This record gives sequence, C-alpha cells and structure tokens, in this order.
Amino acid sequence: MKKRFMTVASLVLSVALLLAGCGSGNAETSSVATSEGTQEQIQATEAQSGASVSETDETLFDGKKTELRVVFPGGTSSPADLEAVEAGINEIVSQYMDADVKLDILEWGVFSDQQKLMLSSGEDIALMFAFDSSKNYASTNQVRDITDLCNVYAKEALEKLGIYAEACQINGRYYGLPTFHEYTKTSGLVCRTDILEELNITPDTIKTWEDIEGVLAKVKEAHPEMNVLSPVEVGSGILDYYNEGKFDVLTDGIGVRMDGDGSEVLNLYDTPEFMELAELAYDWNQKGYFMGDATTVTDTRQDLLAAGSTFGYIGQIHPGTATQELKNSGIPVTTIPVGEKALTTGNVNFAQYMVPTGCSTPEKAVKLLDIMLTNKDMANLLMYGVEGTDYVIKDEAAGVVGYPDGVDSSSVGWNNETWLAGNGALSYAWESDSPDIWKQYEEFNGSAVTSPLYGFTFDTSNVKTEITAITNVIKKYKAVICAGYSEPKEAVAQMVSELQAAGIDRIMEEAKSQIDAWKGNQ
Amino acid sequence: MQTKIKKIRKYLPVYIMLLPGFAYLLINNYIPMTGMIIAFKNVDYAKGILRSDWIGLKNFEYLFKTPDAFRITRNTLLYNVAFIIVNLVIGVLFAILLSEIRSRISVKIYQTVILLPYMISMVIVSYLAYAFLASDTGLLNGILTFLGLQKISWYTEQKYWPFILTFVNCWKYVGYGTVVYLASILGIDRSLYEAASVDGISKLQEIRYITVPMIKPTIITMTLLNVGRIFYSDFGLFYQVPMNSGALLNATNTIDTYVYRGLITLGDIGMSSAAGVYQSVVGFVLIMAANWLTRKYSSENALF
Repeated sequence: MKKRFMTVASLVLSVALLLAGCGSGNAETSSVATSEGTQEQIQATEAQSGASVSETDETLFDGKKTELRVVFPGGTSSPADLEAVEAGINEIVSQYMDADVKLDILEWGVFSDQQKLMLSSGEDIALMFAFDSSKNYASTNQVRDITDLCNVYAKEALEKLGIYAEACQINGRYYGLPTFHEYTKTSGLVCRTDILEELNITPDTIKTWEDIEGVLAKVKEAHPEMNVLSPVEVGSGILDYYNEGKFDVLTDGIGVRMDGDGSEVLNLYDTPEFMELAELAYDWNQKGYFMGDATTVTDTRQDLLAAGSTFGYIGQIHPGTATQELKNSGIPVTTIPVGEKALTTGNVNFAQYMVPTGCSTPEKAVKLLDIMLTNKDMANLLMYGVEGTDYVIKDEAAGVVGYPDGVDSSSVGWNNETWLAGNGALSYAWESDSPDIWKQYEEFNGSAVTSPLYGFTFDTSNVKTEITAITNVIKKYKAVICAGYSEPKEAVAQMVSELQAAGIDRIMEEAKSQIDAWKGNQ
Repeated sequence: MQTKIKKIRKYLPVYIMLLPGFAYLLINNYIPMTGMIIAFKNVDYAKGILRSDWIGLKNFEYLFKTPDAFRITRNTLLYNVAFIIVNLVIGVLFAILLSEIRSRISVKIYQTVILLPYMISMVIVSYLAYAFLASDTGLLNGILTFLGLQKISWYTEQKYWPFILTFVNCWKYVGYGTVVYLASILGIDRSLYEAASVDGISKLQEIRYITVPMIKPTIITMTLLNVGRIFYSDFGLFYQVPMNSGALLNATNTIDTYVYRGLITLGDIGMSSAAGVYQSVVGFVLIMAANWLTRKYSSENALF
C-alpha cells in the first residue's frame, strides 16, 4: 500500500512540475528572467545600432577593461606561449579600445560540441569561429546580425575583404566575416615528395586524372607493401573530392552546375559526374590502389603519412597545402592539382568569425574582428606566435620567417593555421613556402570561376526533416561508393532511390524557390 | 490527528535524513523534465526557451516520416529484446555456476574476470573488437587464412553484425547481472538445500526447484528495469563498435545513432529533444504495462 502511495505521489509531483514548466509563460522563474535579460540586451543593441551609429571614443574607450573572449579550434587548448601571445594582442588592441582579449582555444575533437554548448548557454563570448555556414546559427538567433556595426567598426575590413565578405551575408545581412583563406579549392593528388623523386616523376607533367593513375600504377609496382591512397578524412571514402569545383554545393547532396545559370537544381548523387566517380573508384579499388578498410580506419591521413605506410591521398589543394601538411605530419609532400576551381558561397563562408547573441559588448567585438582582419602585427601574432621565441625573421627583405634554432613543429609554443587566424595574408611568409605565397593565394583565389549563385545561402529550416533523412542515406552510401567497395551502377541506383524516398525532391523544390526569390532581388 | 503529529515527530529525524536524497532527485531528475517543452518549440536563442514559438509536433516528424523510421525502431527493439534475454539467461547461468564453486579464491577471481569488461569504456571495447575484425591484421581473418578459408571484410558485411553486437553486449554487461544474481543466490536459506539433499534430489532438480524460484523476484526486477529502457540504445555499442561504418547501417542504425547522424549538421536541439521525449514516453508506457502484467500474475514481485 505504501509503495503504491509513493508511486502515485511521485507521479503527481512529476506531472505538477511538468505543468508548472509548461504554464510558466509569465511566471517569475529564473530562466524567464535570463531570457528577458537577453531580450533587453537585444533591444538595447538594436536601438544603438540604428542608422545613427557612429564610431565614438566613448564606446570603445569607456574606461572598462572588457574581457573579449575569442573562441577557435586548435591542436592544443593551452599552447606554451598562449599568455605571451595574449599580451602581445592586448598591446595592439589597447591602441584601439579598452579591452582585455582572451584566446579560448578548443581542441579539434571537442570543438563542435563545446561550440554548440557555449552558444546555446548564452556565454559572453566576443568572437566565435565557425567552420560551417552561419545559416544555422543565424536562423535560431544564436549569433547577432552585425551589419550596422560592421559598417561603423569594421569598415576597413569590409573594404579589404571586398566581394568575399558578401558570402557571409544572409538575405543581405552580415552574421559574420570570413577569415583570409583559400576561397576556392581544386582537387588532386597530395603525395610524398621522396617517392616521386625516387620514381623520377616530375609533378609538372601530370595534368589529368589519367596521368595520376599512371603515377599510382608506378607506385603500386615499386612499393607493393604500401597503401597507395588513404582516405582524406576519418570515415570518408577516397575519391570524395574528385568532382570538386564542378558544382556549387548548397547543402550535401543538392547543388547547381558551375557552368549553368544556377536555375537548374540537381541531386548531386544522380549526375553523370557522380557515376563517373563511382566507376573510377571501383576500378581503382580493384587495381589495389586503395587502402583496405578505408571507411573505418581511425588514423588520420597525417598519421598514416608520418608512419610511412601511405603514399598520398586525393584531397583539396590550395597554395598552402604542402606547408600545412608538412607542419602537421613532418613529411614533405607535393601537391598535384588537376581539378577545377569554383568560387562559391560555401567555399568562402565556411571559415568565419561570428558575434554570439550572448556577447555583452558587440561594438568592441566587431572592432576586434576588424583589427584581426587588418592589422599586420596582429596577423603575425596569431599566425606564428611571439617573435624571437616561436619564430625568427630569416630574410628581412623578402619577409620570410622560420623556426628559431632548436625549435621544430613539435616543440614550438604556438601553432595556428591560416584559415583560423584572421588575415594571414598580412603576415610574413613561412620558410618552407615561397616568399610570394600570399600573392599566390590571391592569384589562386582570383582565378576561380564565380558561381552563378555566389552570395546565395540556402536556408534549410523548412526542410529539416528531409535533411535529417538524406544525411543518414548519404552516410550509408557515400563513403562506400567513394572507396570503391560496391558495384557502382547498382549502388548508385540504390542510393538515388533511397534519397528520393527520403524526400530529396522536396529539398530541391525548396532550394529552387529560394533561388528564384534571390534572383528576383538581385 | 494527535497521533499523526506524534508519528511525524517520532520519525522527524528519518524525514530529515530523507531530504538530501529528495533534493538530489528533485534537482537532477525532476526539474530537468521541464526541458521537455523544448521538443515542442522552435527554439530561438534571442527569445529564450520559454518565449520561443510553439510548433506542436513538427519536431517529431522526422522520427516517423522517413523510410528509415521503421528500420531504426525495429533495430532498437529487437536488439534490446535479444540483449535482455541473452544477458538474463547467461547471467543466471554464470551466477549458478559460480555459486557452486567452493574455493573462495577461485570465486573471487572468476567474478572479477567476468565483471571487468563492465568497467571498460565502449571506445576501448570498439578497438578490442577491431583487433579481432580488422580485415588485414585482425585475429579472426588470421585464423580464417590459417584454415585456408576466404577472408571476410567484417566492417562491410552487415549480416554478421546482429551476432557480433549481441556478443559484445553480452561480454560487456553479463558480469553486472551475474554479480546481482549471485548475491541473491547466496542469500537463499541453506536449510532449503539441506532438506532437499536429505530427500535425495539431483543437482539439476535443486537448481530448477530451489535456486531459480528463489531468485525469481530479482530476475523480474532486473528485467522490468531493462524493459523501461527498451527504446534506448547503447550509443557506444552501436556507433563505436561498428566503427561508424556506412555499409553496416541497415544492421546497426538505431534511434540514437540515427538522430546523432542526422542532426550533427543541423544541431537542432528541438529535434533532438523530440527524440528524447519520444523514447522516454514509450519507455514509461512500457514499464507501466510490464509492471501491470507482473502485478496481475505475481503481485508480490511487482515493482510498485
């Protein structure tokens, strides 16, 4: 009897609590109080950020050492010289405003989860890095619309970024600004320089996929013990990037042709190009060019390269790729690009800094972003760390720097990548790159074909159900097909029919209508 | 009335001792339940959770409208049913075998060995499995080649996975059940066995007529608790152990892994909460139903 009473009591209690939760629209609970707080903040900033905003000394030099937290991913959360770098940054920043910048580096493995938690709990963060488009953050108001603030506090950065800033607009409003990075990529072979030399292959003569196959065949013959190609990412297939540059991908599986006018929305897995990829993957796998268990191997490509068991991989290539891989794996690699280059919204906005809704001083945050994108000393600090300890100038005239004596990639106190570091183009060139590396970047970016939909961002919030479903279908087939494990015709047909059952047509219709509306506004 | 106050006063220290536990339950288990409302909202971070718009059951649609919905529900249910049965039978069997061992040191050693996998993280378990199943370096393929048989690409052939997953689950969790059942076997009054041996019954009869009936309440309680979680799947087991291999998804995708894979790009907390609410509600209904059935057929063993 007593037991039963307890059950009933606990049930009643839980129901009561639930009801209390549901009905507390105007009850004075703590969570209401916080949400009202945010609401007021927003109204306050909205009021401030009207047409009348102008850069004033009072806002930036308000006498308060506001803490500005900058969150971005990295290899380690506490590099040895973190404090020294912060001190250097604060010295620069103090010329522009009263602030105390803190760098909050999250390790790669936890970045996505931590970032989502930080944004949803409304922490006071000035700048948050994102390596996917800002559309999901913007559609749920996790980040601020910074258009008006940018026009006041980041004029110089906007000018410098030019058309590349446009990619971070959603319906004409800015929700972030892109870092300097490769705004386009091409696909090709990234492989060990020593083996190329051993086999007397000159990279310049390799121009097509057939040429690449010739290289693979030679490597297979000379080094039968070695995996010729390994996966580019953990859990991916091997030829995932084969079609890079041929489509403007709006969301995984949906896109338009680069050479069209952007009005024909395609299911990217139902194209002749994807079939070609599938057949090539199957053929190459049969010939033994692919690593076994490619889709389930848990070692990164850098580890595989460093272990000496892999010749290379088919990946995305841009001017700094060889240095980036050298820094990560310690193995000199050569890049052989053969694909096409596209300038798409997604290629630009995939690396950007946003101002979260929880930020209490958005003016200062935007100013900080402006400094990161325009200040040369800031760029050097973020890219290479402290001069003297983390890097030394090797050639003043050419602007080339390198590790000090006795320091290497494993013992250096600061390590960062170009696409995370604001504006790397203002910094020195690293000794393993050519001195004009940043010019090469600019030329590379400039040579890309601009997508007919450049500046358009696909808002997926109306088709979330279908996106969830097709994501699972893609997960099921893509890596397997790109690793050549299954008979191409059969597998692709099966994938396409499952995608259709999962509602990919509905997503395509939605994309089409948004594109039409966007074109109408142009 | 008088007696009631007296009673309360008498037991007051006991009630005070109850407070910390009650506060713990309230804060950790009951208050978070209000978060269920997220499942019915289109969360807008600028408005806050309570002020976001209500959107009814829209967040739940993706769990039912897709062609995979049937498969993931079937996988989740069937795997859990298999786990409950296998772990119960093997757990009880091990407990009975252990209880028959007279050497105290041996019992301790066996018990530790059986329980040890329970303490190991699923990520490590997945690499232990990988050591057996890897296609080039795995132990099983090594044995197959030694016997002159064809190698099997374990991580792309889904037909083996229902057995592999059930085996791994059993290996990992059976120790816990064994310890619980062993404890309840050791609690059985020895005089029952003595009386039976005077009557001259065999060992098997002893197990059938004394041991199993005596630990029936424990078995029922453990099973009921597991039935309540039948709509949840062990994420580590279904995600890590198959190494997140796409080719195995038909056999390894469950509600939890489906939701994780689908929402990792969207990061929509409304939709993920919807999955949680769905699982909790079904679990609640199932545990009530199972308990109702138990009460009907052997009321003294019901949980409540």
